[in-house]
Amino acid sequence: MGPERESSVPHHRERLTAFTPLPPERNGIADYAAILLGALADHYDCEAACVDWLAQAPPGVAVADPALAHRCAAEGRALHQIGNNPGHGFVLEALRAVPGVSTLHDPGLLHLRQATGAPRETLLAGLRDTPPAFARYARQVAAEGRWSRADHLLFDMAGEVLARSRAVAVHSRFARNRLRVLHGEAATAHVEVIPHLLPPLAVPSREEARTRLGIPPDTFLVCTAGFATAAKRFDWLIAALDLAAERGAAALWVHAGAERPEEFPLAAAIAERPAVRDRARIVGYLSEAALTDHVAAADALVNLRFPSAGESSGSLARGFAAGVCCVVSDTGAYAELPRDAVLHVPLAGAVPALAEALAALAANPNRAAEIGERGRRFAEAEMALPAVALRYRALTEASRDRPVAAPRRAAPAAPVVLALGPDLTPAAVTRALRGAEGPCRLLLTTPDLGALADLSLERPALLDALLPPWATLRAVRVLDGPRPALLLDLETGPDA
Amino acid sequence: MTAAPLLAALLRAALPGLRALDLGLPEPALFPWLPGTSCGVADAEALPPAEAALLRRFRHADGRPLVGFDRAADAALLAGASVAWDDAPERLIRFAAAPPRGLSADTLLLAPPDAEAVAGAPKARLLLLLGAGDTVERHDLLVPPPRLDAIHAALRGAAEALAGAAGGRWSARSLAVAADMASVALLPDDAQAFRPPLSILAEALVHDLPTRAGPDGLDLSDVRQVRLLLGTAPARLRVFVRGDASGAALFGDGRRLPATLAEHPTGESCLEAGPWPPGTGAAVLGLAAPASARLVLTRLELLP
Repeated sequence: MGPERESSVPHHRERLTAFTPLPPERNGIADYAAILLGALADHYDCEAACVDWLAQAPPGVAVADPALAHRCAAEGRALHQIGNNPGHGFVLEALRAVPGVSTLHDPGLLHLRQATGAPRETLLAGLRDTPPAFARYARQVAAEGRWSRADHLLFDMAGEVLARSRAVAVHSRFARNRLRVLHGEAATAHVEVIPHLLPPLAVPSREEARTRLGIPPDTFLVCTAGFATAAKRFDWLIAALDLAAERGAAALWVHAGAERPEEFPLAAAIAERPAVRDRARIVGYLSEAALTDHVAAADALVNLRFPSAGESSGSLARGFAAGVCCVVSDTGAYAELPRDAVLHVPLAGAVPALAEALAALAANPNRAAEIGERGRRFAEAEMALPAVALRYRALTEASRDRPVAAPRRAAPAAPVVLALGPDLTPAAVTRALRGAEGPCRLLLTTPDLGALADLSLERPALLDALLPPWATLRAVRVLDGPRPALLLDLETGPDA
Repeated sequence: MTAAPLLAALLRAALPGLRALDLGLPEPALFPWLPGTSCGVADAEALPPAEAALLRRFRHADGRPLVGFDRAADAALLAGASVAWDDAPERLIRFAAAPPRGLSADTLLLAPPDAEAVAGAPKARLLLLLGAGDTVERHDLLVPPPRLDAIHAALRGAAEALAGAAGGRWSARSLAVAADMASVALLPDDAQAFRPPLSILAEALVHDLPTRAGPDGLDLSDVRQVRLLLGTAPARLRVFVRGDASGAALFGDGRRLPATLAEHPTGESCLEAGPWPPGTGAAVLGLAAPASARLVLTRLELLP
């Protein structure tokens, strides 16, 4: 779907409610949403529903309480900005009440569901759509309740977002294809690629920025930005800088972002490499202006990823805006960037390749500047904010009447009834419970209590075998007449 | 224009020791005008999920959820368990549609015009005709038949007293219509409304914080925002706080309200809200402040 032509757009201004975090929340999606809403305010009467009612919205955009936004949002358009961290839990809740266009900044969402206190059953329910290749592993996770970092790549929790959204925007073909592989063509027909936006920054010159930061003009400066997570492969960068230093290419490295030691012990990893330790700085979370200064002062912005789930990067967009040479992993969404607009580092042999690239750029800063300029031109052509806003408007208007899946039904007040006998299979129980979310009851009737006793002896751990992994047994009561039965109180996850 | 304040004043004056439960959300008639009134919905499952999720957040001053969201507590309340009513000598339940089931026989009911009483529990009917501006509201008070005469007399006396004290010229009338029906009317002669200012102390507010307010107010120093259930959109509103209210903001039904800040002679800061936005649903006031403000909410004033 391309940008909409002026003649086909509505002339009156409709209301658009965006459910999203906003600054000062330290979250790249909050920054993205603030910039996007500023541009969408040219097209709609925008309102931002945000858990922080005193958040910083762009001029002309009011902040509203998301718990009440459903009263008005249902009449207008809704936009949901969803990322894979706990700051987006309220967005997911809002999507259930007010369907609209959703931007999936990270298609995984497992971390979001884990971090927002989704019960174990809900998380396990996400395994139901696991691709066959991972099914055995998924069953093991379900049985042991043991989650690992790999699960964030293998297991996908985007099914509900796809089902409840009128349209879904992602920032790369990689992200769209990943959703297609996991959820099928039909469930993802409404997924649209809208490139990440180019932030309208007032970028200082390299010299001006370096003067403010006290960095000499002839120093080769490598910059990284954002939260220091494991997937950003600082281990590779540190090793590459160490290797480059060995070869006589000593760069200064500034990490313009906060460390998350629980995810990756950045300072400790740097301390282990003397050649890097003396030429590295971690400056912590920065203000908008200070971050821009650091990026503008850089000769190379390194933005690695492995593994990648298709997430996008606000730091990279900032690098493009500043015309800085961006060095990225040749994977995921990054692999789609033009080969002459960034430097791609292969995943195999990433450390020596990155060391070689950095050494080459340090030896020839003009080469870095040329790549940075091509990156800037690419971004201005593909990621310009007004064009991105138009794409969002086109998607919003085109999808207005697209039906969405009905909200998941609440657990039935009356118990689900099944006849308990030798023929009752786990598949039949799963079918009967499908669609229930939260507490529910299952009544297993039996001809008489004697038959129940016989069956329980015949099939040890009968209930364990019958119940699906996403249904947890909370209580069992034996009912003696008029209809003998087992009444099970269950806690179930959603029908993903 | 609503006669809710007049209805609350009339019932309060006529029925000493009255505790009420208003099941009329999102359009309550007694809450918040009759102090101490609990509120809720008759059928929470019939609400849109987002509205149910909103109302489920709130707690009464004693920590109980709104009625309709806690089946066990609701059953005790509707069955007339003394402890659930704080041993109140007089109990009244107001409903806006179908009467709830499982009510104790001696509970008074306030119903829409001509609403049926609960099956199997005969009730006499007292028609309350109350004026507000140009409109006349009718509420039916359903009472145990043996108590009709006494309650009718008490309401008549209260109406006559209010007619003299409500401001402006009012007419109070009463009529015994039949053995099981009577009426009391309190109507303005000049289309005015009875709408006295209502001050609600923080410890009586229905809010969505896990903490409870004490005599000194509702401590907001550990939170950035709170929702307060008002029920009916106020014509004007003032919020009194202690602490630095310079960065505080008010929200009406989720939207920022224009507000002015003034120092009050009591040493409190007073935020006076501008016009309430039009909308549907039970009115919810929001108060937000930077963490550094360390606010304590002391009271609200709903003004005519």
